[in-house]
Amino acid sequence: MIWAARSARSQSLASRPAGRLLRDAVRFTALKKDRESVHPVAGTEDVQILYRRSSARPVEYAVLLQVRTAKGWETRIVADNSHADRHVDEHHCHRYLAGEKQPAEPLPFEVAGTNDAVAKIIRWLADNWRELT
Amino acid sequence: MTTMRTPAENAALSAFIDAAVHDDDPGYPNGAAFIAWQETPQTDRVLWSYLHEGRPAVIVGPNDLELLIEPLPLGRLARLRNDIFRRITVQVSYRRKEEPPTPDIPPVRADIGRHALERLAPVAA
Repeated sequence: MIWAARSARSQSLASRPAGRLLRDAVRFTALKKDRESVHPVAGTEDVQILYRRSSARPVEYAVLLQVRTAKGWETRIVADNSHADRHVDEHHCHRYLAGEKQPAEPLPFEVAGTNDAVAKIIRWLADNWRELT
Repeated sequence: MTTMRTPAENAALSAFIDAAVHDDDPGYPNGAAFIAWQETPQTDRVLWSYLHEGRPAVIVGPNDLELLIEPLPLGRLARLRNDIFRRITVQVSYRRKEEPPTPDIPPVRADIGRHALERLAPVAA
């Protein structure tokens, strides 16, 4: 089964033109989220904000609001611009209900570019963590 | 609703945001936890839990000094010893914001317990 899956993947790769393979490889390398940090939210020991972002442009990021549970850190909401089929200037968030990622929602504020979005998202999560968790 | 924060908590949040929006590598170790520099039992517990996860910690105060605490990789025997004595072996260094680690204060290797900030605060004063 695994072998069949690998074989199908190889055929899929083989059927792509070399230029597209190279372009996809460069895009994957460039957009890799290579930086991560966390910040414990003030006023509690069990909520944190985590971001991951790429250093290279176009910047892809994800900012997560997480709650500590018996199983470890669980994500309650993630805001990002990382989607294979959309432009990186589309910023939105997804809530998690019972561990299931919900459809994308627009952010509740206007943003002007990626870094502005990341800064506003972090402040939004830090200010409203009680309502959002 | 806006959360009320202390000056140290505001400084830690600002440092975290600055690191997140920096296009160049801001020089913090990957995975670092940005923690407000407050001598409270809660801060010590938060620091302890992140160090236990293996995360480096950046302790941020309202002045421009930051304390970097990085867990050091250890052999099996040393890890067992630390588990028994409930401590973590770390490297501690200081830096001014926006600057590389201060060269005149060399990094210090230390075994720290659950009340690390209480012990390290006088060193930074």
